[in-house]
Amino acid sequence: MSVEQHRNGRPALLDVSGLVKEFPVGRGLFGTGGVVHAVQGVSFSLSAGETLAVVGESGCGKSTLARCVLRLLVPTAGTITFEGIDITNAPPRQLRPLRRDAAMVFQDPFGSLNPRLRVASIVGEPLREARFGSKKEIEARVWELFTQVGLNPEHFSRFPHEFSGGQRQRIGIARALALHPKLLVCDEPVSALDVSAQAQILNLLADLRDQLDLSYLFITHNLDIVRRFCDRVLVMYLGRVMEISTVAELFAAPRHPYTAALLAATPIPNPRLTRARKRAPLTGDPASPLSPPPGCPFHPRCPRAQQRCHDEVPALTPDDGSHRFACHFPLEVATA
Amino acid sequence: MSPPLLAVRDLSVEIQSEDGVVHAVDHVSWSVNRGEVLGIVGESGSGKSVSCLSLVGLLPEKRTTVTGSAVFDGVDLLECSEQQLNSIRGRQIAMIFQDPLTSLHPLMSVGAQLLEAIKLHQKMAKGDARALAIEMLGRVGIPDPRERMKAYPHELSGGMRQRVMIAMALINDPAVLVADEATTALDVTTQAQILDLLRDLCARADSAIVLITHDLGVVAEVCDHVVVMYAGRVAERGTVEEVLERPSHPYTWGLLGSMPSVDAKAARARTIGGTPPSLLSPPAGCRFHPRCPHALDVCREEVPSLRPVPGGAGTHTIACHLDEARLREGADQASVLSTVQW
Repeated sequence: MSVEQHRNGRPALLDVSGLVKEFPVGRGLFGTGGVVHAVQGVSFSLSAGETLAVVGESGCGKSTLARCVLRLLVPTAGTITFEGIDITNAPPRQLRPLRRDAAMVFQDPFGSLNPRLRVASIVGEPLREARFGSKKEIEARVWELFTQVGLNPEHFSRFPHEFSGGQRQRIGIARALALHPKLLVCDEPVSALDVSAQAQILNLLADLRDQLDLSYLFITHNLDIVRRFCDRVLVMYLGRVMEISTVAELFAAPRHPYTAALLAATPIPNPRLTRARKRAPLTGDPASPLSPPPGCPFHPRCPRAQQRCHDEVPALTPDDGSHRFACHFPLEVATA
Repeated sequence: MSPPLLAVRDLSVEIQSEDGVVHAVDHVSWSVNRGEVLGIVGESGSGKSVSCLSLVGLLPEKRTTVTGSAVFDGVDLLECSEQQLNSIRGRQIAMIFQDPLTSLHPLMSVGAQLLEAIKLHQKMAKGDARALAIEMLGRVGIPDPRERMKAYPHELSGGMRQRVMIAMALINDPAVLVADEATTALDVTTQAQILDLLRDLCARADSAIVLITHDLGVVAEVCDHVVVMYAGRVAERGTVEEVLERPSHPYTWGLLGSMPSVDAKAARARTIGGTPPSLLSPPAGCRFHPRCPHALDVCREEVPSLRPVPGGAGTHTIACHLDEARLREGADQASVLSTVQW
């Protein structure tokens, strides 16, 4: 892992190794209804100052992964190391530093803010919880946060419903920034917003990254956002890592057929270009994580699948520092 | 040339709310022919959904005033009685909504819902109706349709549910299909499948599709014509090539610049500043002027009317006061944006 740990010359902030999360599905009093295999052996690391995207379709386990990283869920197996400390099974008391140093921005700017609290007290809540200081000090910090995320501090005493979607997302970001975190886990932070608000929020997140030296674990299904905003990207399918790479390399030469299919399905806002693309759309839907297919989880939909893909789970290629993929029959890199 | 299948003229919709009158749609005109896909683009609150809902009388009657005309196959929909509309809705004009889970009845099997749709509009023996329902499910790409007739909505994936909605909308062979953000909630690979399906059905059944979306990528993929709406008015209108390759309204420039797919090399997205106006008291003059970086004095006072784009084909129109030179400059910059290399 030495290469991974010293990407961009800085130590790993977060290191996840062999993470597994399963949810038992209860059925009746006795007997089990099976197990949802949400995350099945995911490993990656994130250096300080880096933005890693986690991409995949709904149900691929990307949100579960995010919640495990923040220890909002207890992983079934594997280890999570944050700043060199193993937090996999740490009791709540020992999670205090994590709660300060890592925060989350949620997808739904409507559901993630308490409608009965004034926005100043929403943003101030983590500060009060962490006994940040006197009432005055907290108020000053909230004021500072408001300005930082581009909200008018005069709107201090308003309620969430008085704000637009984009502004509400700013409130959520201000709350996440309250305790000077090093890592922000963003779960689809702009997918509920209009295009113009999306662009504004992405610009804000990019500015904050530069100003505050933040690292982001950025969950999204939108590859366009990945390309614009992220340094590295991890592609998930049915709980497994399909491909992990720098953004430039992944977009230039995807090796996994699933990544290629995702890229081909992303619409481009130019009629000539988008219709000129030759593409064979994937058929079928992802299998249920309750009963993932044997072998490579993608093989039932994969145009390159062969018997081996059914029999054997492909392992991730060894770490060469930039590009790894899990496929028995990867796409060739075009040699021009 | 035969008249368009559905022609909307000067459509205005005002809705009474607790806080006053919402001017949701203001003098909007567009038309769509058989075998064509029309895209209506805009952000939330731009009036794109409301304008379509008003056509088929799906807005609360007591609180809405709809003026203008919407001629479908020789009949003005806005003059129709509730009874007449009932025979048109679902039969000749069908709709698909964004969220298939809330649009499907959770306690009825897929088959029962399809059969109900048939029974409402067609006289058909039970066995024939069943056969038609199964055939339709197969046509929209649902594997094992006979088995799936018994399934309940919660047993299906999002893509499958949306396919059921499409099957239900198409089962009476409508002339116009209105798809309101029909693929927005879907994953990209599923979205690609559904878009292919819609385009295919449109070509084969010779019907017209009105696609309401906020995604210019989806528009580029399937539409023939586009209407860009802002705050209840048409900002720009034309063929998909005209509007996306030669965008000529400052709002369209902003919209394209905000798309993350566009100009990915730039560290920051070009954004449109501010937020859309409240339609309770929309700004005077051009409704986009408070956010428009090019706004002139005249924009604050006078509502721009739709006019042909200078130097363009007559089909490409914009509602903007800017002069030819400014428009050309902006279009040059914006067209570079949309042809970024993949």
